[in-house]
Amino acid sequence: MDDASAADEAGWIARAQRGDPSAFAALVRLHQQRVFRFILRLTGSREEAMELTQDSFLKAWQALPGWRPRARFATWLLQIARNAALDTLRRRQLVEFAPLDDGLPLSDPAPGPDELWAGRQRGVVLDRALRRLPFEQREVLLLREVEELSYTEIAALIGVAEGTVKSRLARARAALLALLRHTTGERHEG
Amino acid sequence: MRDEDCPRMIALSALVDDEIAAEARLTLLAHARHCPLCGAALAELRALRAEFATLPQESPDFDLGHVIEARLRAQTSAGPASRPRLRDRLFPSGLRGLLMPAVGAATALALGLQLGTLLLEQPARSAREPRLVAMAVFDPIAPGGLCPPATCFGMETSR
Ligand SMILES: [Zn+2]
Repeated sequence: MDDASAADEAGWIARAQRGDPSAFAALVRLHQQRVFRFILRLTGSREEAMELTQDSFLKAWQALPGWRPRARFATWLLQIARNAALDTLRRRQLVEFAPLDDGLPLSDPAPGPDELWAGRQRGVVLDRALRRLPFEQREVLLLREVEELSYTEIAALIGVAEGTVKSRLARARAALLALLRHTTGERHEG
Repeated sequence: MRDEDCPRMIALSALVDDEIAAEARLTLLAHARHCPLCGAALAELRALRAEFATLPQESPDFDLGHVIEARLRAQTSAGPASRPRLRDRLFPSGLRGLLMPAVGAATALALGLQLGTLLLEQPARSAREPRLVAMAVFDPIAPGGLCPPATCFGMETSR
């Protein structure tokens, strides 16, 4: 975010804290895409992500009067979103025993090797591989690689020690690389 | 030792994140230039980082700013001191049912409300998320040894 947007954001936060819905709407517009994508990648469901994104902003509105800028506003929103997603996944686990994994192969069988890793398809493969990781590994990867948070910020956000973030990220990357290597192997064999 | 707990992997991963002390960073980089195993692992970790830029960039189905503002206005018109009772008016019964059915949801709400004080404070060391077992379809242990041979020194002192 550039300086101008940061100043805008600070103004909107102050107004929203005093109960101004249009200022809060501006904050929602500024952050909705980021929060939505984060939740979508955590939960794997568009419909659920839409609902949880709305819920997260409504929770933020309720908590906003007590919010103090000790952390970036965006990071705070991500923490609310993460807790909402985790709660939903726990409940889904209890109710359906359904894995987040959609059961699809990591790579589509149709395209040839050259197209497979080209552009969009690469992202789809990575997206599917991420879904096969345990939640705790998926979230640290997203917070680090997509949200670009520091170890200190991630530790505070998910409530673990920094050393845990460090080792969990290494485990997550090893697991993800193993999945992607496996896909590459399937491709060469096929 | 499991592959993913390999100290080399942890150090290299932290190196890619630039979350490693300056001196340890130089030592590790110098080592990786000469050690084919560490050099390859580092290249792979950097490639993986670049790969995240290719993730699908999906967007919400509609502008949430508009929807949420409308809901908040419906609430505000009920009176100026009504924010604490927001929850009762804000969520239609269906959504409230979704939000508030269990202790878990209430906990999430409480967590959300505490966030401002939690962030950037010392995290609880005992906190540990339960693993969502059914999601771990694959055993996350990497095939092929990630651990260095005896000639590749351990990197425990990297941080
Ligand atoms: Zn080495």
